[in-house]
Parts: sequence; structure tokens; C-alpha cells
Amino acid sequence: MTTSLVELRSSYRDELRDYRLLCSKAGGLTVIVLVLMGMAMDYVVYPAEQKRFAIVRVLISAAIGLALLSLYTNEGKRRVQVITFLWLLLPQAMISWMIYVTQGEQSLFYAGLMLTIFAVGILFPSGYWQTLAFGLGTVALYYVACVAHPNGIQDPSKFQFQLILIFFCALASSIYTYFNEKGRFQLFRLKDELAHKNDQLARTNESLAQIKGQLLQQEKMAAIGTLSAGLLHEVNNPVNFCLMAIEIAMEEPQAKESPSLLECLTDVKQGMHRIQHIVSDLKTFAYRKPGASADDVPFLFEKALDSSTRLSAHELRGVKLTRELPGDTLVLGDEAAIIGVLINLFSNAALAMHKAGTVAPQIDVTAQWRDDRLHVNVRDNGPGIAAENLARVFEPFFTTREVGQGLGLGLSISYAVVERHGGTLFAESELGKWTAFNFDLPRVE
Amino acid sequence: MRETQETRRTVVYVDDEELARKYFARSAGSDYEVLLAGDADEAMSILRREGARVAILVTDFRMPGRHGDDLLRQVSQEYPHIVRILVTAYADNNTLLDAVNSGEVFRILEKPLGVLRVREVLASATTAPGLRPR
Repeated sequence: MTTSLVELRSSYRDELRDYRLLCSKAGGLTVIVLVLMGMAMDYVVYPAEQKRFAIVRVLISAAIGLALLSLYTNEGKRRVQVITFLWLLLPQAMISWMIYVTQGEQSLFYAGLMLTIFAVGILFPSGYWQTLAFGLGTVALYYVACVAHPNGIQDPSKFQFQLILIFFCALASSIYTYFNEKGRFQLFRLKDELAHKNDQLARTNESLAQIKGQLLQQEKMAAIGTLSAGLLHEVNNPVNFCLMAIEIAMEEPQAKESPSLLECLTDVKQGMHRIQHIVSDLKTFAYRKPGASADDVPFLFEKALDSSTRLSAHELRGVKLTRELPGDTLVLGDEAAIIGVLINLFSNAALAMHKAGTVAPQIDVTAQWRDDRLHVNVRDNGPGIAAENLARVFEPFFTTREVGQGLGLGLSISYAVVERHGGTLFAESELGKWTAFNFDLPRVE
Repeated sequence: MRETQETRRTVVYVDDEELARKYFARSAGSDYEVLLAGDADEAMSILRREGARVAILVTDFRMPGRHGDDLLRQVSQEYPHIVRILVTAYADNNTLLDAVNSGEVFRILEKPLGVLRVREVLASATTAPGLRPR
């Protein structure tokens, strides 16, 4: 996930503009201070000009100050490069003027011009061609100042030497700026890459955490599957012969004659049947065959929804049921098992809303296609599930109902069913407002 | 006496659970002579002795040693006249389907077995056309 170089360059330009703005402001203040402090040099070299130079220095400082203020406007921000270039020329013009009015090529002030050129190359991120233009501009100003000097050029070799020196400064500064620029872009690119890598790492971390959670859940369910298969066999065998024994006992003449004995036997038989039903509920877990092709039959989810609504009609009395389905709901799977899942979700929702006395109870079923899977959402406006219970609802035998009112197997079985379809069943809730269960089914290829 | 022997069909019941054997025998009642075996090998040795007069073989699916489907396959080859019934306490559709296909099973019964159901199936097995002992 690397950004293209073009994109990178454009965001680099944005960052560079901010940087230029900062440099222009900081550099401007420095130049103002230096221009004003230059009065010390005037005092040392040209005490006679002290007063006039001081006025010029203050004016130049004020002009630079105004240029800096303009950078706080939007227009100024946009034209930061031009403004910086122009105000940078002000000290050069000032120094050149001072050279012009004093000693021409004999003046030592040419060193000030060189200082400024170097300062621009080092301090300002303004592109090598700009530095070069600035340097050449300075050379031109110096040339004019000396040539136009009232006394003309007295020492041509000194003049030429200093002119060439200033030109060299401009050249060296430009080359320096060029490489500085390159380095800065490199740095920016690395920074950008680092940010991307960080993003990527964060995403990877997140998905790893998710996968870990899913794996844990899958492992748990697989363990329950193995356990159930064993339990089913072990419990079913004794239940089998007990039931046979009870039936045979009930055929005995003594049993038929004694109502109390018959009653006992009937109760025992009922208990045995209950044990058997618990165990057959566990069958769903025992049937954990990934890719069991016998179950993979195309069916319309809409029809399954119809059936489950009909079958839950008793529980859903007084509950408003709405649906929002795509036109095509042809999915692949075990229709009967999915109907079971829906009945389970409906009756859980209806029971919870009934117990909480929800006003205008409602269940909304929505389904939509995403990545070749039909994502189904069953949402009620009931009391919701407390956060500490939300993670546990898929655990077998977890129930908030009274003992004997349910085994607490419904959702764990539904979980296994959805998992067999290659999907996940998960719950969301806002306590006191709503609960939603989501699952997904594969599309027919 | 000889005649009652003829009408009383002989059934072999194979199950590793002793009490399951006991109550199967009692469920079948006096209409059948029930021979009991604790595993597939024991069943085969009974058949080697009594094979000719055995009409029905009922076997549990999950047992230590050879499973019921394996036993049924051997019986279908060596004693084709015996009607074969599979009993299971373990719901596993695919394995059962294989058993039915390869062992030519007459019926599959799921545990728990009802007394009436056992009698009903045994009765239908003895009268099943084409599956009668020759």
C-alpha cells in the first residue's frame, strides 16, 4: 500500500509550503534583527553616514515586517514563495545602495551580500533555481552599485574579483540548495512510508485480534462438538435399555394391577425421555462436518423466513414483524437448520420482550448481499442484553431463564448451524433499547 | 414341538452393552429365539454354528473392535439369506449412508428403541418379500 510518487510529491508540496511559511517568518525576523544591528557596522565603518543609514535600515525593517504580516492572509500564504523572494531582495538592495553612496568597489559591505546569499541557501527551502536567481540578482545589484558609483570604478581588478566571488557564492549556494532539497524530499518520503507502515501494522494487529477471537470461539465449539458426540453415544446407550426395561416392566401384570407402580414407571419413563431430548439437542453439535455436501441444497431464504414465521406464530403474538429483503435470496445450505435458527432467534426475542413488558414490541429482519454472502440481521426493540452476558449467550447451557424453562442450548446450536454454513452468528445490543443477531449464508454459485 | 421350532424365528442381536442385549431379548418376546453376541467376532462364530437357521441379524453400530457396518458387509456376503438391521445410538448420517449402501441393510433403527418398535420391525423383517430365508 504505497502511495504513488505523484501523490507523494503533491502532499510533499503541501507540507513544503507550510515549512516555507515557517521559514519565511522566522528568517524574516532574523533579517530584521540583523539589518538593525548593522548600525554597529555603520558606526565602525561609515560614522558620517550613521543617521541616514539608520533611517534606511528602519524603513527596510518595516518593509520586511509588512511582508511578513502579509503571510498571515490567505493570499499571502498562497504566494509565500514570491513574497519571500521579494523581501529577501530588500537587504541586498539596501547594502548595494550603501555601497553605491559610499566607496563603490572599495567598500567592505560586499561581504554582507555574500552572507545573505549563503543564508538563503541554508535557511530557505526555496528551490535551487530560486537561489540561483537570487544570487544572480545580487550580482547584478552589486554591479550596478559599483559601476554607477559617482567616482566610477577605481580599482577594476578588485571590483571584478569581488563580483566573481559573489557569483561563486550564488553558484555554491544553488548547488547546496539542490542537494538539500533532494535530501529533504527523501526524508519526507521516509516519514510518509513510516506512517503508512504504522497504519498497516495497526490494521494487521486489529485483524489478528479478530482472528484470535474467532479461533478461540471455533476451538471452543469444536471441543463442544467432540464432547457432544461422545456424550450422545454414552448417554444414549443406558437411556436406551432403561426405556426398554421400563416398557417391559409396564407390560407386567403386577404393574398393570398397581396404579401407584404404574405411575412411578410412567414418571421414570418421562424422565428418561427428557434426558433423551437433551441429548438429541446436542446432536446438532455432533453433526459438525465441515463441507458436509448432503446439507448443501439451494433454497430461498425468503421461504425459510416464511416458514419460521409461521412456526413461531404462537410466540410472536402481539409482536410486529417487518422484513426488508433483496429481490433474490437464493442461498446454499440446510434449510431446515436455518429455519431452526430463525425460530430460535424469534422466540428468544419474543420471550425477552414479553418478560420486560416492552411497549409495541417489534422484530425487524433485514438481509443484504455483501461479498457473495447474504447477511441477515434480526433486531428487536426489547430490553437488550447486558454487556457481561453478551459474550456468553452462545455458550451451551447458558441461560437467564429459570431452571427447567429451557436448556440454554438454542443459541449455541444456532451458532453451530451458522458455522456449518461457513458464517458467523454474532450478537449486538444496547441495554434497554435493542438486541440484534447477525449471521451470513453463502450464495449459490 | 418340531413345528413350533419352525415358526419361531431365530434372531441374532449384537451389542457391546450387556443390559441392551438383555432387554432386546426380552422385548422380542417369546415369538423369537434370540441369540446374543457381545461383538462382531462373537456374532460370526454364532453364525458359523447356527447360520442356516438364523433369519435376522440386528447389530449395534458403534462397538469396540469391528463396527456394525463391517459385520453387516461380511454377513451379506457369507449369509445372504439373513435379513440385516442396523441399530445406532450415534447420529452420523454419512457413515450410516455408507453402511446402507454397502451392507444392503433392511432397516436402520435409532436408539432408544421402543419395545413396540422392535417387535414391529422384527415382524416386518420376517415377512418381507424377497428377503425371506430361502
